[in-house]
Amino acid sequence: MDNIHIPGSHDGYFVPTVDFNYQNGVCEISGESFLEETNVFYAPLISWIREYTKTGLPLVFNCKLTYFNTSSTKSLLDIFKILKKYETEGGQVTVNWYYDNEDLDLEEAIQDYITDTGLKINMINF
Amino acid sequence: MDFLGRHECMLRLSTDIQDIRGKNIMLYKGAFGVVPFSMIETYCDQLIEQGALVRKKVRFVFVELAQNINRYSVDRDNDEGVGFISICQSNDGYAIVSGNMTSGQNHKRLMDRLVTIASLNNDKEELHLYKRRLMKEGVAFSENANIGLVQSAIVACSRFYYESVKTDGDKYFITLKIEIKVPELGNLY
Repeated sequence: MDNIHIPGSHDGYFVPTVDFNYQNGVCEISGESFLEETNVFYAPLISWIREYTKTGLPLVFNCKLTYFNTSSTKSLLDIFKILKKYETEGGQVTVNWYYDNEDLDLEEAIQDYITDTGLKINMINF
Repeated sequence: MDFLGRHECMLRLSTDIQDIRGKNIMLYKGAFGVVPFSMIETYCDQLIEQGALVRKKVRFVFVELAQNINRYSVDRDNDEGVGFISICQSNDGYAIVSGNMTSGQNHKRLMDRLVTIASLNNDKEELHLYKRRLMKEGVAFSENANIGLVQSAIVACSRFYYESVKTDGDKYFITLKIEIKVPELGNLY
């Protein structure tokens, strides 16, 4: 599997920075996510995670998104559902969400993901 | 006649929506491609006097309303929805006001959603439950789901106002106003 690196940008739309590393099993997404075609952007990321889960190797998903619009919400939900399924099937999954704990909107959004997927998400203040 | 000219009469109709009592700090009218999103990115930090979390709320609501216009306006310019959006500052916060023409079919769906959101009376817990119910029903992210409005109500922590006026044919002019009242957000902001 190839690693994925996408540099983030703010050019009208907000493209998050993405680093998915097959060698160490760490996937990181950071910045802000508001895209013209959300599905087109996230589809290869979701495919990558699906492929990775076939290896049976541990996976760490670090989310450092500080802002994401409603369209991005669906794609993130899809990722977390895949990770939960992997975990249920015996995969070792760690999900960390780094956030400003004064940002109550973001905190509530993370809580919604935890409730909706049953996935444990470590909420880490930074 | 330009967009605002054609719809000027409708912008004068609503007391609730006009009751901003503040200065208009940003107004964009036209096609909702990348331009308005660049504007909010460029100007938000300069124009919003409160801290980062309030700016983030304003930007969130702005983006969701702008995306709604781009997606649902029946006035199109090179496949981009046409409408207007404005950020106004008042003594106690900000109001984001948007307007666009929409089809009769979408109007009914939108009104149903807005009535439900309004009935929840700004109860965040109820709004979260409503959003999550929509997600479970699988309609939340389909066309015309308007979940962005539900999330905007959650983020704004305040009432929002809407009005629709039937125009020619089976079209409606929809105006929305979402307020972000800074004192009600508490000390963090």
